[in-house]
Amino acid sequence: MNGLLLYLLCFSILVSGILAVSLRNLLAAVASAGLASLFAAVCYIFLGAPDVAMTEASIGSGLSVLIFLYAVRRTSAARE
Amino acid sequence: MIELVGGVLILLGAAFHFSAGLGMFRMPDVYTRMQAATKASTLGNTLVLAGIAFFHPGWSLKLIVIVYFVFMTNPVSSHALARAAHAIRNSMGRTPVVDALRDARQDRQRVMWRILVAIVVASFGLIFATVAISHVEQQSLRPLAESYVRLVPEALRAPNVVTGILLTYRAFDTLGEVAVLFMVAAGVGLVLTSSERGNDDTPGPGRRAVTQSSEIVRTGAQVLGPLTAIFAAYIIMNGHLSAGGGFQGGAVIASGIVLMLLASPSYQLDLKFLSVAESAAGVLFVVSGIAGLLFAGGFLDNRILPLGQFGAFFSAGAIPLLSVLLGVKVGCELSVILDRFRP
Amino acid sequence: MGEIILCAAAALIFFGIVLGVLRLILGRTAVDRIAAVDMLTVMSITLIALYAHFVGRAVYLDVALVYGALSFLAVLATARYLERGF
Repeated sequence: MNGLLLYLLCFSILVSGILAVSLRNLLAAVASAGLASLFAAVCYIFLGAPDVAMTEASIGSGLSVLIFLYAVRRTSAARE
Repeated sequence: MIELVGGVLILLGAAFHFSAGLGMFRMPDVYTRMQAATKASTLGNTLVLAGIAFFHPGWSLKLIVIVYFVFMTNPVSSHALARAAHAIRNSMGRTPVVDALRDARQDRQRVMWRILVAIVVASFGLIFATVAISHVEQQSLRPLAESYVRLVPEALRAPNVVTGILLTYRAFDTLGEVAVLFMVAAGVGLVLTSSERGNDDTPGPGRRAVTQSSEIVRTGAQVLGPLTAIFAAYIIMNGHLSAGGGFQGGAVIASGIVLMLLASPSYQLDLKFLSVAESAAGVLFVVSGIAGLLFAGGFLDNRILPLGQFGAFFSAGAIPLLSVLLGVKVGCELSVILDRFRP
Repeated sequence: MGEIILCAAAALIFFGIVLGVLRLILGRTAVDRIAAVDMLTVMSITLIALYAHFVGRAVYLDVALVYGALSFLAVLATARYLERGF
């Protein structure tokens, strides 16, 4: 059970990464990047590293997505 | 008997999660999908955590706090998202797609480029796969790791080995990371000057249309802001006892401040206070390091404060103090950076 | 008996995650994908709590607590971005 779930999570990280670089809508791409960070944190917990998982959680869940959104808004507003 | 009740609750919660996924997949419209996902997943989460509480009664307080946070945040965020979906459908007639890629129908050259990229990525994947498959997990720790695992509870009296290493044995590297973060903040401050933003009364072409957020979001943020601050203090102060520490707590502080910024857009950060606090925390970090040099074994030694009893709240010497300083510095820095980024 | 229940619960959540990821791949609009991310976050919180129960260590619950408190921020920021009210 443990190994199977870990493989599923790693596959989901891969899928989220591929989506993050290939989606056209930048908003969805940023959300996929945040999702990759989420699955990575769950993988860290399965491997027994709560401190690393907590660091990944605190940065990747809110702040990373937020900075990307600000950057997208700034660059798209400059182009309009 | 109690275990049976707990098991049934866990199974019921998992079934609700499955139905949330099914609803997300099969519902026809974005609003119905959001409704299915939010309601069912929140309820499933509550049931599973209630079931776990039957197995471990000592964990109930933490589980109740998790349930409370999810209950407060999930509906509010879903409400805000639904409002946004409704707003963009009404205003534009189709959802605006920020199309940053060029037109992919363009030429065969693009297809060739993609094939080349795929080959490179596949070869990297093959190299990593060979390394990963031939990896043999070690049966015992290496000598250095073994000595750290032995020394941190004995010499430093800190139950959390990772925080003990980060804030005493490798505290110099932590100081280097703090310096890097400071350089990032200074760089962002140079590149993104806030004079581009102007005040609220200078209108850009649709850029400064700052709408007021809905009452639900504002109330939710008012409730969650202080809770997030308390939670950040818990993570920082608990760094030497269980998982946590300065960086994580600082990031949570910054998230709490940014939450207040997002929920009420007219909220202005007191940048002067934040930069003073950040600099003071950084200076105090170095001062305690020099105090370690003067009064104890070396730079950033933690024995300048009494070591105390193993597992007590005020123990492990200067590690709680360093955690607090680190948390304050990282939190202030991240919120200043995020404030400068705001369009 | 307890093992069977845990395995069944993990399998159900597994399929829920798979369906969520499918919606993330297929979803037509951006809001679909973001709602899928939100749902997957709550499922991950449950998964972390189940793993903490499976191993018997309470320290993993802190990570679930961090996600519970902070995942709100990403969805709220996205909603403000869409409403052009940053």
